[in-house]
Amino acid sequence: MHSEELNREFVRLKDAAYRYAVSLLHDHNEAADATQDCYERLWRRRLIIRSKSFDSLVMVTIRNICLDRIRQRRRAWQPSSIEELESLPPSLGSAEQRESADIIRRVMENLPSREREVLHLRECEGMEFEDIARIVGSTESAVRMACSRARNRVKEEYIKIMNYGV
Amino acid sequence: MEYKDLTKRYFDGELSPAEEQTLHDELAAVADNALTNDERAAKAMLHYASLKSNASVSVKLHESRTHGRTRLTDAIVALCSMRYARIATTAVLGVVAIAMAIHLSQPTVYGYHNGKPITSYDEAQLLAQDIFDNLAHDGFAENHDLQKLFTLD
Repeated sequence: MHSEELNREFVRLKDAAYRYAVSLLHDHNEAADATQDCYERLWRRRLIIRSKSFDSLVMVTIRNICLDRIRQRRRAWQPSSIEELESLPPSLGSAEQRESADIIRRVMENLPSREREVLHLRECEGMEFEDIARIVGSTESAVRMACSRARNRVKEEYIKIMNYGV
Repeated sequence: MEYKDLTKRYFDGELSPAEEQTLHDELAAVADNALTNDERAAKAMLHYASLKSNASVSVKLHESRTHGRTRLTDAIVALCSMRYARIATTAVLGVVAIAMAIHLSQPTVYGYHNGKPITSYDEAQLLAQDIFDNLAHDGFAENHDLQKLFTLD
């Protein structure tokens, strides 16, 4: 892949990679750094990169970078503070919608990491189960199951909070 | 009312991304109090997803084609991606591989006996032993001058 093609394709995918990094790292600044790192890694390897499966390659690379950063963070004993967790843009939707979205965000944050990851790639990036399976290193049916399980968990928690304020 | 069926399938993970978009659009058009708990949850989840999918980041890109090394790399990539260059490379590599296979498959010649190549290591050792034995019997035994060299008196 030549440099112009790499730049063009990466610009197309950078926001999806960034959002995926935010969902894994829960930190906007660190996610932005991870996205830049991802680009640097791909730039160094552009000679051997084929454009055919570039989308998956970007997502797999950003995932590996994020997992490395999470491991480093654990070693350094510096958990991210609650204030640094991702937040939603305040200007979008009505107050009721924002409240609902905030509940969904909090419920999603408490999901097991694999389910949260799958749910993010499916819901926010609109990816096919087949592509998600390639990124997370699983099978399509396992990913489909994880997604369904995650949605049902979120649903149950959401209903509980909305109806009973739990 | 298509959203009622879509909602059930949504939670079973059976919708395509396009159907999920349809469900999102349909649920967004209905007031919350007209929806069941499941539908309200689906609406909230799809709304959250649409909010999150707007996040963006800026990345500092490397300049293309301005740096000498970049230009060279691009030229190599372009060359490698050319169909005929790939065919030629494959052909050359194939010829080299065949030549190496032929060379490696040929037996090692340890020497020649009466003009015949000796390719067996054991046979070569036996023949070499014979030659030294013959030399010992035929040559050194009758060579008194040489024997004197090893005599002390």
